[in-house]
Amino acid sequence: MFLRQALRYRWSQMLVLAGVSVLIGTCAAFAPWFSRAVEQTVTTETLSGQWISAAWQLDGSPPPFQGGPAKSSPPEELAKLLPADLQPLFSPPAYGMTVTVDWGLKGQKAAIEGKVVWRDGYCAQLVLTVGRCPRAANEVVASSTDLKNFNAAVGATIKAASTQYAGGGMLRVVGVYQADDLATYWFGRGPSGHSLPASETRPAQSDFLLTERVTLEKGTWGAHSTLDTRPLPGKVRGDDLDQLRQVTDESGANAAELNLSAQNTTGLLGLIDTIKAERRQAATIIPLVMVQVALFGVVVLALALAAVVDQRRPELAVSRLRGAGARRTGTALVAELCVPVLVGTFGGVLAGFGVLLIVRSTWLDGGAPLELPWTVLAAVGLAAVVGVAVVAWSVRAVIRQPISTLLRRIVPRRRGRTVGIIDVVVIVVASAGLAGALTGGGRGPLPVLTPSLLALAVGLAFAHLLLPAAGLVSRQALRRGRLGLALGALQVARRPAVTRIVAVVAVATALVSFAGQASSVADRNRDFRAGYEIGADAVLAMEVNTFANFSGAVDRIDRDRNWLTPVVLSYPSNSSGLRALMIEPDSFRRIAFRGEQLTDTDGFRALKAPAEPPAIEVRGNRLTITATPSNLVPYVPPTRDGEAIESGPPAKAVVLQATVFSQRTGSRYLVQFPALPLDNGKPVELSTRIDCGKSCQLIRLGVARELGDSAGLRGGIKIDKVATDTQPTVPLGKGLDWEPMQQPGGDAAQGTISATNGPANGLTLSLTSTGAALNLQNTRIPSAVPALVTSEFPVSQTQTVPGIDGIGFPVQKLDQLKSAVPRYTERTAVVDLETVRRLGGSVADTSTDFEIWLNADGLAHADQIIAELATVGITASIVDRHSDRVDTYGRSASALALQLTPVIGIAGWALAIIVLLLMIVTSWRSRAQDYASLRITGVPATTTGRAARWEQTGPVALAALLGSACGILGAHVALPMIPLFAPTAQPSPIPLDLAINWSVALALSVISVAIMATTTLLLGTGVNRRAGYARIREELS
Amino acid sequence: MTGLAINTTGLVHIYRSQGHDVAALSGIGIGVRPGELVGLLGPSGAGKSTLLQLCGGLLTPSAGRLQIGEHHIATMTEAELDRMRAGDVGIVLQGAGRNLIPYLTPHDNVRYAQRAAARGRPIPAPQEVLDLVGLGNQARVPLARLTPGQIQLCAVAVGIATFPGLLLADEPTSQLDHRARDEVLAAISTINKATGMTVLLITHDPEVAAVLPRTITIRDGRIASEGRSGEEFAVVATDGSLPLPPHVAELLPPGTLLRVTTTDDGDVRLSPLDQEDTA
Repeated sequence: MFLRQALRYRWSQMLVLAGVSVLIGTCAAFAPWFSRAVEQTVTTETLSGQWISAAWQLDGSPPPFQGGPAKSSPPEELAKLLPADLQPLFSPPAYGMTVTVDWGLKGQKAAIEGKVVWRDGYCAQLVLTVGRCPRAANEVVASSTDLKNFNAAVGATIKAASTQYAGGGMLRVVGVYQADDLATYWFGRGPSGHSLPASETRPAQSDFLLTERVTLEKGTWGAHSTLDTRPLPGKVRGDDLDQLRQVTDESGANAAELNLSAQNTTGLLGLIDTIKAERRQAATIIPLVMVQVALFGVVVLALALAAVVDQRRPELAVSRLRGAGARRTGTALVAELCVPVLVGTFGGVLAGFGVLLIVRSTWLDGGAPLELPWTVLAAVGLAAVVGVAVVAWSVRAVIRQPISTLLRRIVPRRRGRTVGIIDVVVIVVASAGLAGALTGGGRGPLPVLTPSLLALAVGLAFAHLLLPAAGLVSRQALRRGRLGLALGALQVARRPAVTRIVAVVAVATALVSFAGQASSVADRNRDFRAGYEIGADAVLAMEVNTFANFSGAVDRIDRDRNWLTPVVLSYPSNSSGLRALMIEPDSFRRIAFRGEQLTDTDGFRALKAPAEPPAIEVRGNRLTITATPSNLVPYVPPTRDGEAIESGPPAKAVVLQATVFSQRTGSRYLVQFPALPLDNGKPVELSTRIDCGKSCQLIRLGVARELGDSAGLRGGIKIDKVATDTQPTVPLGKGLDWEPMQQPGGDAAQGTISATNGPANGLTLSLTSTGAALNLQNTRIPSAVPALVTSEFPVSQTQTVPGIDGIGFPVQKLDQLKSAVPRYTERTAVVDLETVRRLGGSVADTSTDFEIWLNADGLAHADQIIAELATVGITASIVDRHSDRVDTYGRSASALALQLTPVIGIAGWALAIIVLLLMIVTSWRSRAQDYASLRITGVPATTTGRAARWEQTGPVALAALLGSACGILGAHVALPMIPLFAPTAQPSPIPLDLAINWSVALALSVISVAIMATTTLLLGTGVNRRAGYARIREELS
Repeated sequence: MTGLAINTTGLVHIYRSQGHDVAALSGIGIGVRPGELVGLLGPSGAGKSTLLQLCGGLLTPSAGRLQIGEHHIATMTEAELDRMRAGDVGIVLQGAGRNLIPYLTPHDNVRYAQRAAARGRPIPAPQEVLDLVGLGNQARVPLARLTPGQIQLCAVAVGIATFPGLLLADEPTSQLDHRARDEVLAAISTINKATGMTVLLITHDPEVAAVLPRTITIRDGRIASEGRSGEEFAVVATDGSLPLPPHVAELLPPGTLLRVTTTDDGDVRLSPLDQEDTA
């Protein structure tokens, strides 16, 4: 009854209530919708971006070889492993058969390793350069590289034999194909386009020989059946993951049940775990973020309703006067106020859906299906219930007052300044929540609520301090004759509603500040982690045969290292060892991501190779050494238990040896001279062959023993002269230029060796030998190479890392690693590339990777760099880009969820402005009457104007500053608890940079204060304009 | 429709506030017959509005008896009071706007006031009520377009929306010009005569008081005098006390001894004792 009139009469209030409710409804609907959409997007993008890992790659083995024909099961049998109800979620299966063979052209030895492959529809995927596709059994097409390397030309006959079975056959080449990069068809296991001629260490390897199915079915090849299929991005929903996981997990057992000897090679299980981890992040961050806004919205709604209901007091009194009971009157008012609240809340569903559509097409790239999850309905229902409850609570607080109280225009308040119970409860709860957040170890939602709770507690406390403070300011200003300030402060002091405004503004600006920090810090960390993971703006990877070729090419391309820094990585043979990351310190610190922070100046200095002494160059094909044994006597090493060791016959000779490396090929090798008889005092000239026609460097000298000779020996050997067939003398420098190499095991009992100055250009060696080889290394190569080692790895004195030839060299740990090592963050020893280069060694292509790290300029010139590398036979390609990784992280659930933070900021400001407007809407009349009364008493309009403008501006500006500070402090507490990245099995060694972004904090604080202050100034001006004399006579409200 | 009688005996009301209590009424005894039109006079703070609110059940007596028709106010529950206000007692508060819902027309305001009336009770049509107060032609006009006098008439119409047995009106003629005042007064008189409704109204205006058949003056929470057709009478209280009229009280300062004598005609004479007599 009269509901329509009531709603129309106070349409602005209804709009405010509906607006706040729309915000609550939008948050309630959007949070689960967005969470769901993010989950689906992450699912879709993960399955799409890592589709090969996600694929089921089934490999059915033939029955074990028992001497007879091996009939493989058809690949279609493998399809039974995929349940019918899941088949629509997968791509159509690609069937195939494959057998590993050794083959050779007819009349030649079958010494080429390769594969004969059939795959459904393969021919349509090939580019035939010569001939045609196979049509009949035993016809094959060979790759153009096999044509080049093995002369597998059209018309050639190939004899192939299965490597696992006795079967095989004669195949005829009918075409030559060019391998194409059709990964989607081949599922990553297609022809490579490469074949390798035989070398000393490996047999020849060919590309695929592709044939018709009948070839492999007819013969007794023992072919494997294959089936490739993959979950289709977009069709697979988050809800399907559990079933997919179960079926994938059980595929082995199911195969056994079907009597199939099949293996499923898939990374789907890991991907599903990743997706689920990201889903958990989304489900954590999004509701927490949106709940803050929604809760703030509820608080604002409660404030708005309190003001609205307070304004209804005369009408409530009229209703009660006419005999309507409190319940009836209250119910009517609840019904009236529920209309905008419910309309707004349910309207928020539409708004939430609209926002979802926008977000879906912008942030999520349409990657999420449109659906109505039950969580949306539940959240909106809950929001509606909360809205109605807030309305009922607000009405109940007033309607229970006696009619005589309702009739009073101003509610009587108790004398003295008291803090309301609700305020005390809020402060206590907020403080308790804050304490819980600070001491709770980051569990639960409390940490994320820290900024709001802190701002609420501080804001309310400030507000209650503000009232007496304003009274004090008012009195002092009055004494000093500053009437405007006195009036404004007095108005603050006598209007307890200002406590609500101050608290709301504090919370709003805290939310804004926190949102800004969360967004900027998350952005920074994604960039930070991407930078560390990639290592530089971009990374080129390449195949390199010799180090000299690599370093020469790099110098030619960018000698000054303006664009690039070369990096060589060498892996240990066992997975538990340390890998060596060889860098150029000077260029690395400029080009690598935060390279300058890898270590300090001293660290970089210590890392670099020694500048002196110069290299000892050796040229020629024979190396001659003139040596004189000096006082070499038998030696019995002491034992711990005092028992004598049974020694063999005394030593008769030692073997001098030298280590050189060729600057042309980079290869390092050991040369040994003929045995040096132990005739003390008698010089002997010894000679051995070397391959240093162009140039080598002598890096080590040593003394070994003849085979089986381990008798103890002590004394000296004078090296009088070293020469080659082209160099009359090779100067060895001073004794200090040589230092003993660390012995394997680091045990001094295995002998010692040292060098002192000897004859001109020679050395005197002092040694104690117990049978092991003893070496001295030129000091331009440290005997233990300084290394920055990732912190988690324990480094002993005998720790070695692999060189470019795969052979370990000892390292000495520098305790000066200041940050994570870019790109290779774990189990890595960073060493100087120049030092390793001086050590020499052939490239071990199985354990050594060559990379060029580029900065932004280098990336801009990447094509030019790749082209120049190609001119020296190095095929390079960009394998990683910083920007790509940042984009990838930008698509993570955490990043998508945190994209909401700007929305929070805007919502926070909007709600604060709504509250300010509401307070004006409900109080402007009495304030205007106050100022009108003052004008009647002679107070100038300029003074009342100043008071009206600054009455709320001062407290609000202070509250905005306080709120911003709370937001910053809250962010400092809460940010470590927000999952910025998907959890991994091992914690990432890349540290999080959670430092406050002060520029953002300052900017947002200034903007917050400016927005709030401007709003209150404008509203105050409006109030003063309405403070006309007629205002005093107003009665009808 | 018959008016309701008002009977009070020793009615006391005390406002309690922090630090001190204020006795607004100190043992008032009044009797108003059904259908009577009575004005309550007295200075500000005398207790007129308190008495009116007690009669309307808006306040609860601190002591004494207050009976409106068959309703014993002091012992009624909140629900019973609501029912009483819904049908038997109409109230017009001081300040016409406080009686009205600002967004409703006079017609709808009357209808709004009839909402809580008990089922089965005959309710007049809003138009009939508005016609009675002379506002029938403005039934559908928004309040904002009415004159102050019409708004006051509307407030009166709302007060009698259910044709209660008692109308309590707090200064219904204040802040009105003479013409409007007379219209309101005429309307109230018409209501009283046409419906037999008992009317208790508060006024400060001597001209209004002069036309009322009966007035009761309250001073300091007690009945000071009563007027009948323009003539003032002192009223003997139930405890035998006699508040003097102001002009007499000026002559007889507190502590004055009076000799009370009766004449053969039945008159009572109060004679102050001379100083000499006392000497």
